Amino acid sequence: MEIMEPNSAIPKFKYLDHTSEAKFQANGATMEEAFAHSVLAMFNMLTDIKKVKPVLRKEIEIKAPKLDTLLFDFLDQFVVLLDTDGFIANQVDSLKITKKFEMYTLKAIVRGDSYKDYDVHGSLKAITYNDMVIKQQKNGTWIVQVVVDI
Amino acid sequence: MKKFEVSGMKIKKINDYLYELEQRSSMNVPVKIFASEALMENLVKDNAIMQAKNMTEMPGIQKNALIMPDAHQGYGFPVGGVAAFPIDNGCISPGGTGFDINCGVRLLSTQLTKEDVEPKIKELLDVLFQNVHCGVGSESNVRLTHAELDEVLNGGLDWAKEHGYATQHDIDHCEENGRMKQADAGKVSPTAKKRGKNQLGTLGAGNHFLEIQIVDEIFDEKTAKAFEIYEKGQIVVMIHSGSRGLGHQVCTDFLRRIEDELPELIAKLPEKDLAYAPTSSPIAKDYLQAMAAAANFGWCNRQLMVFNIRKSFAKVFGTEYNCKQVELKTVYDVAHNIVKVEEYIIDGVSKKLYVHRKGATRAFGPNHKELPRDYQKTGQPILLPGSMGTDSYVLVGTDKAMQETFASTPHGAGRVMSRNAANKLFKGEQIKNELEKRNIFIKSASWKGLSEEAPAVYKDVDEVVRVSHEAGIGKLVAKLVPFGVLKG
Repeated sequence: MEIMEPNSAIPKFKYLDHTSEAKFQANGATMEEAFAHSVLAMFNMLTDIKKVKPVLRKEIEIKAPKLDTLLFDFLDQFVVLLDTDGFIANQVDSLKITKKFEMYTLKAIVRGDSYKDYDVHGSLKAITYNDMVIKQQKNGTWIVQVVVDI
Repeated sequence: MKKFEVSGMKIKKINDYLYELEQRSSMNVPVKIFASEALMENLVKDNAIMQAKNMTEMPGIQKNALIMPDAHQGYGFPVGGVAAFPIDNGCISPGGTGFDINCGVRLLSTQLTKEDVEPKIKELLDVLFQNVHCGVGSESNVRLTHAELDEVLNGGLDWAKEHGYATQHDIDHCEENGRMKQADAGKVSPTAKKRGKNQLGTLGAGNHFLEIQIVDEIFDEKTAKAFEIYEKGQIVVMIHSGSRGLGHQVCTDFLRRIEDELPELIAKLPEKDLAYAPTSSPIAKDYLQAMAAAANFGWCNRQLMVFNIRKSFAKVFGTEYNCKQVELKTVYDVAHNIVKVEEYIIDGVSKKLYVHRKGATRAFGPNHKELPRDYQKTGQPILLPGSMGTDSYVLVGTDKAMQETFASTPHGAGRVMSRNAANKLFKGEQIKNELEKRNIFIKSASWKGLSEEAPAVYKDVDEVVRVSHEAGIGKLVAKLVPFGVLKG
C-alpha cells in the first residue's frame, strides 16, 4: 500500500515485507519531510490516519549526536505517547532539524487524536535499528526506512 | 539431499534435525541450527542464520550460538536464538532478550470437558472479553500508585499473592516462582513505568492471545497426568502475553544507554540492535536488575489475567458445574524472552552462565533443583503456543536439552509471512468465518488484527514440535486445539 500526497508523484510512504516485524519507507523532498512522513507511516499501520481528526497538538524536541539516533528517539517518543496518552498522530505541522556543535536538534509540532474514537488495531512495541536507512536519493529526494517491533 | 547456504556460507547437515553453519575465523563458536529440511527451506530465506553468525562474534560466547526450529529474522539476535556467556567475563545483550521482556505462556487446567463448555462458549468469550482487556490502549482494571507499581516490579507474584490475585500453587508452578529476586524498580525509567502503569493485567495485541483449548491428543500419559492433563476433550486455558509497554521501554532504554555510553563498541557491530555490555560493567548490572523488574511485571500481568479468567469462569459456570468443581489450576508459566543465570558443564567444568533466550523456552530435564517438587520426576513443562486457529503443544524438558541447547527449545510457531503480505491476502471477517466453520470461535478487538495473524502466516507448528521431539530437546506430551480465541 502506498499513500500519495495530492498532486504529487512521490508516495509519502510505503510498507515493505518483514517476516516478524513491520517495515516501512517514508519519502520526502527533504530529509525533514521524510522524517515527518515516517510518523504518519507508523500510525497508519494501526489505523487509517486519514480518518483521524487532528484535534490534539504535541510539541516534540529531540537532541542526538547522530541522525539514526535522532530518528530512533523521535519515533520512540510516539511509541511512548501511544501507551501513555493513547495518542494517534496523523498530521505534522512543522518539523525542523538543525545541527550545532556536533549535536542535532529536532523540533516538531504534530497533531492527532486519542485512539478511542477510531478502529485501531495492533500495537507499537519498540523502534529498532534493524535495516534503518536515512539517505538522499540520486534525484535529490530523501528516504527514511524503519523496522518497528509490533 | 538438498544443499543449503546463506550469503555464500555453506550449511552442513549433521543429521535430519541438526545443521551447522560453516565456521569462519571471525566466529568464536559454531552456529547450530535445529531444523528439518522443510524448516530449513524457510530459514535460509530470511536473515536469521546470518544474525546467529553475528552472535558468535560476541565476547565469551560458550559452545554454540543456537537456532531453534521456529526461528526467524529478528533484530540483533534472531527470534529463536539462544546464546550463553560466562557471568564473570561475558556480556549481556538487551536485544538478545528481545523488546518484550518475559513474553511468555501460562497454561491453566480445568475439570471441564468440551461438552460442558460447548453450549456456553460464546457467552464465555463475551465475559472474558469484558474482564480481560485487550487491544490498543486497553487499560487495566487495577489502579496502581507509583509506589504500588514499584512493589509489583520488585515483588512479582509475591505481590500478587499478598493482594489476593495469586495462590501459593500459582507461585510454585511458575518459572522463578514468579519473582526474580535481583529486580530493582529503581533501575526502571520513569518513561517505562509510565507506559506500564495502566497496563497490568492486559493482553495487548499482535500475536498475543488468550485461548480456551481442548486436549486433542495425549502422547505421554504419565507425564500428562503429572501436568494435570487427563483425557482427550478436557478444557484448558492458555495465555500468551508479556510485560507490555513497560518491558519494551526497558529494552529501548538500555539499548540507547549502551549506544550513548559505549560508542566504540557500537561502531564495531554489524547491526546496532546487537548492542551488548560487558558483564562487569554498570550498564550490564543495571540492565539485569531492570530486566528482572520487567519480568516480574510480566508474571503479574499474566497472573492478573488468570485472576480475571477465574472470575469469568465462575460467572459462566458457577463454582460447580455438572457436578464438577470448576477450578483453574496453573500447570506452569514459562518466560520465552529472558536472560537467566544457569549452571552448565563446559569442558568438564561447571560454569555459571547468562543464558539469553530470545524466543526460546527453557527445557530443564528431570531432577533439576530449580523445578517445583511436582515436576522433579518429569522435567519441566514446556508450553508452545500455536497461533490463532492452529494447534498448541505441551512438551517436557529433557537431559539432552540440558546437554545440547543450554536447556532450550522452541517457543511457538514463528512467522513465515509479513503482516504487509498477510493484509493483502486475508480479510479479518473471512478468517473469522472460516474458523467458525471449524468450530473455533473468536472475539477480537479489531478485524485487521485478525488478518495479520491468519493461521497461514505462521510456520507449521506441528513440524516445529516434531523436530524438537525427534531432536530430543523437548518431548511431546499433549496436543491442544483451539476452541475459543480472544485477541487484541
